[in-house]
Amino acid sequence: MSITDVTTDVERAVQGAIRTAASSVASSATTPALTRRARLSRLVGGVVLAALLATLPFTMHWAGPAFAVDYGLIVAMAVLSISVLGWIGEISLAPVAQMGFGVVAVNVCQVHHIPFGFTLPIVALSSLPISLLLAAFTLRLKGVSFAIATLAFAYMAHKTFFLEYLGTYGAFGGTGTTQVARPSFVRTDESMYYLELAVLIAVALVCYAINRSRVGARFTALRESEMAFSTLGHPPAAYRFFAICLSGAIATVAGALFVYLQLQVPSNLLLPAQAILFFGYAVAGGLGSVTGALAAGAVFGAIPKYLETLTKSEFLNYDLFVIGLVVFVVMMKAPGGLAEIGRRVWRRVEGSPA
Amino acid sequence: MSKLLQTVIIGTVTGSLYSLLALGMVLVYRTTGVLNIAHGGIGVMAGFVAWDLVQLRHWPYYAGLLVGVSFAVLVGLAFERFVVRRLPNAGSRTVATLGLFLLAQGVVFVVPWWSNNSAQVFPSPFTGRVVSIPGADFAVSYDQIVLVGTVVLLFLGLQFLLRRTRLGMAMRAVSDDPAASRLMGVREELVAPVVWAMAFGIAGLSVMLIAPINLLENTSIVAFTLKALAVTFVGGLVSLPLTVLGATVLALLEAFTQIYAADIRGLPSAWPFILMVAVLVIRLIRPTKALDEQALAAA
Repeated sequence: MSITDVTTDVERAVQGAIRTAASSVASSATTPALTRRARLSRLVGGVVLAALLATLPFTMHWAGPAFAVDYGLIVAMAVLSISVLGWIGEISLAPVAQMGFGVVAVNVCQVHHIPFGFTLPIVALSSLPISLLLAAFTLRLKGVSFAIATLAFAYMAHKTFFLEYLGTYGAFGGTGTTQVARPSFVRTDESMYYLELAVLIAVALVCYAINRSRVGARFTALRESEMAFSTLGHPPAAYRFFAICLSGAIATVAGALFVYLQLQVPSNLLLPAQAILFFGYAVAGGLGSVTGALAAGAVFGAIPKYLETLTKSEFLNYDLFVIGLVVFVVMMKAPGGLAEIGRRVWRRVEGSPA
Repeated sequence: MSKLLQTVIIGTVTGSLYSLLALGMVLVYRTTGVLNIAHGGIGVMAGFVAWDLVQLRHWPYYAGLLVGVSFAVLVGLAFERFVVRRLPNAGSRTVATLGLFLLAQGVVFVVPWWSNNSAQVFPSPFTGRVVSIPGADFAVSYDQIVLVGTVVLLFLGLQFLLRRTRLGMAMRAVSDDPAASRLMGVREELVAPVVWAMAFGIAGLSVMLIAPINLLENTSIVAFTLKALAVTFVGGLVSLPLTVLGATVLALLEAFTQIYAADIRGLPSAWPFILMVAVLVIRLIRPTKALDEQALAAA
């Protein structure tokens, strides 16, 4: 067998992978007509979800303040930033550190009196240098080695930068009582919820669009076989860089929203080990799934806060234990996570074959 | 001269601490391709079991230590039997160790009489006894000497096990090529439990040796485990000698900067990352296949 034959086989294999991924994207656009039951289910489901999302901070008042659900949305965004790296088959444990840089970026914007309308785009762009640095590691490292490198970076960022800059109390510069000022239209935690929800929906739509586009199909092909992917002339590094920059931008924006919610973010809220917990949430949601990440992040972020209020902080003792159990159950029973479970349940509701 | 000696001793002791944690992780990765994130968590849980028996129930120290290590071994066996064996690949098994890490950390807070004060003093029979270093205004505790001695013995023992015994060769064979090792008569279902039991036992022992020097608590052990993870990188996650070397170099760099360059705040904490970058640069100049192959196998 000559080298040309091998190359042809490889090309055929990758083109097949890309075609499969692309056809799954295309097929969703040309799905057979929905049954009446499915249409009705989607309509009712959509209305219920929209009503729930629109009223959540108020309907959950009995369980605790709106801060809990606000925090849940921020965790959801952080988990999404981890989950999107599942598209290229990598694990990053740096998102919490990248959130920290978002906190710092908001402070810098406020010091320079930059209007809120420009702050979030600037924060997203400011994530690029760190993301490119982390992405440079993927030129040489894959899998667990890349995960360890990101963890070491997060550790360094926390110990050398956040401890100095944010200090124990989260006041910028490590001392004093300087706080971030929220924009005038989000004075309360309830109104903060709607700002977070709008940003989260925008980010989720961007992720959906990428995942269902040609780029998303190529991510799948890259994850399946990098060698074959590059043989076909696609640059793996460019796609990796893109995914890591996207993940970094989401994490940094989550950090910006976090400081708007908390007003001060002490460095101990940006511990590297927190990223391991968020990765656990991403696994529970289903790595690579946008909906799963958002659901797991919001649920595991908000519920412990509500339970803290309801149990007068007793639940704090059970937090890690419960999420550990959930990760186990997910790995053993539904490796696709909450996303897979949700799909199964929804198929039953719609009456389509499982 | 006294200051230099003191720095070297501090670096050596801290390096032993990192090595102890890192060796257990390298053992698991080298023989199964799984990155055992739960290593530190299991150690803390086993440490609390021993602490409970010795401090609260007044058992003899060594009996408590034995039960603590046995508990870790049993958890390792159960984890292999009921979790590892049922998962399809190294990637999903690594994620399962993440679940175990969270669970083990959670258990420490769930047991009411442990979680009331999660940082505990766990003295050994040697606590309070020290050896003065001639020529230095400095003393080394017996606990620190035991820690360094254990690392040396563990390193030599693991090297011997993996290179010179049938069990060790079987472990490596199963890791390198499971199908070929099956054809050669190696039974994976007998080898894997030994690896996990041994690794978890080492994790338990490590924390029980570290506890008399530091406190027995989650946060610091997790921080040590994170540094140990960075150290495993030096050895490409597979080499025991390079792992110990990396741990010692990292600890010495930290000690020297803390003592001789105290003005540069944050530099000691940056060393794990700087060390990783340095290793990467060395690998770019002199590429070795081991790291990539192992990493790809585990991904």
